[in-house]
Amino acid sequence: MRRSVIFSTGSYLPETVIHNEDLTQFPAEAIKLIGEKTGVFSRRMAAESECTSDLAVRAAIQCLKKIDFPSEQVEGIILSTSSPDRMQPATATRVQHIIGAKKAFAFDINSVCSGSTYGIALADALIKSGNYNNILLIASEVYSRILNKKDFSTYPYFGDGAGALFFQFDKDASRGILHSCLRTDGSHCDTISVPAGGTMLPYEKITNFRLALFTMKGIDVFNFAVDKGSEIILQMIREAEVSLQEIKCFVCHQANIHIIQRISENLGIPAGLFYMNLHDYGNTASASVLIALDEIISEGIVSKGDLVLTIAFGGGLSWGANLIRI
Amino acid sequence: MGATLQKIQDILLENFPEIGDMAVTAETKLGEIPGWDSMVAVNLQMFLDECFHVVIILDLLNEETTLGELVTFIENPDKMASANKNK
Repeated sequence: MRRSVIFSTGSYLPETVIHNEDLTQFPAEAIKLIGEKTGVFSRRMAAESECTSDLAVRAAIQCLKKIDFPSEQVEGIILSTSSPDRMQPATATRVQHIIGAKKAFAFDINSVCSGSTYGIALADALIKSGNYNNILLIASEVYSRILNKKDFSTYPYFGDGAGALFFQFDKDASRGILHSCLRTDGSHCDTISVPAGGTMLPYEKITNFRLALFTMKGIDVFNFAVDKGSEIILQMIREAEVSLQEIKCFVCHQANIHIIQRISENLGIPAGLFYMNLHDYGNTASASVLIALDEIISEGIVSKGDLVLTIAFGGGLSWGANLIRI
Repeated sequence: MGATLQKIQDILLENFPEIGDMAVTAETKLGEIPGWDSMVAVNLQMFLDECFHVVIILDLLNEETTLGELVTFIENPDKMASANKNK
């Protein structure tokens, strides 16, 4: 059986750190609410000269360099982003060019914050098809450019960053991506959005600039994430025929600490098994799961043979999970 | 009260579009605004400060506060202190 095994990981977090106290556009008495309500205490911000593909390139290069894999032998690049360089072309194309992956196809996917789980499933499917032996999956987000800086209900949550995974085909059936679950509920497609700039509402028809910026219905998103995040974990263990106790680490999309805590309580999973870095990086949208995977593997929190369960939820509304044996 | 209430209604309609056709009166509670939560309350505090140059403390921007009470705080900021004390 062909398996898609993670051969390397990478990530890039921009150098500029923005602490909650630096958000002086908000009232001083509100600042403490950020940490209380979200668990976020700082986030990274891309430099003015950096765009989404620049962060992606840095993560990708780190990923390939770790195993000295020549970029010319990369067969495919999938880039998950909901904050692309431009409406078109795909942000992945610039990454392909800069890293010198001349043989690789390159395209973007967008499932907002659940993009990484979708990307993992897609990379796995391409390798399992037998048509490709390796795929470079990157998730890169620069939400600082699409947020309303004066919107307290969204701006403090998010940070910029990129993560990368390099998958290769392996005949060892015991390792790699064991199973993926992907779900969507399009009846709530308006819950999280950037309303303007596409064909639905072109820029020339905007009456309020806020329509060109990210918006979400906070309470609805919170309840959805707790509900579906818990549900997809149960779906995964049922379909993959594993038990919760076999999972060494749960890598949940880093949206809000209270979402993760509620999922942990709902399922009786010790909170310590959920990896967290949102206090430092904020919500990096689809990059959050890949950045976390890079950290847990690089720091030895998980090692060869361990089972990891990724869970993500986001705009669409969409949610997904992957079961991976490292 | 009339002009102040009208301005608050305009602020709400512009910044909380989900209100739609919902009737927004002096008796409407902040908690009835679609999507209301403690983070959104901070946005409202900023909008009201920008429009009226009055900072309504966050404790008074809770889901039970009515628009009529907001008008009172804006037109008589000294009443905010006693209202907060009574909470």
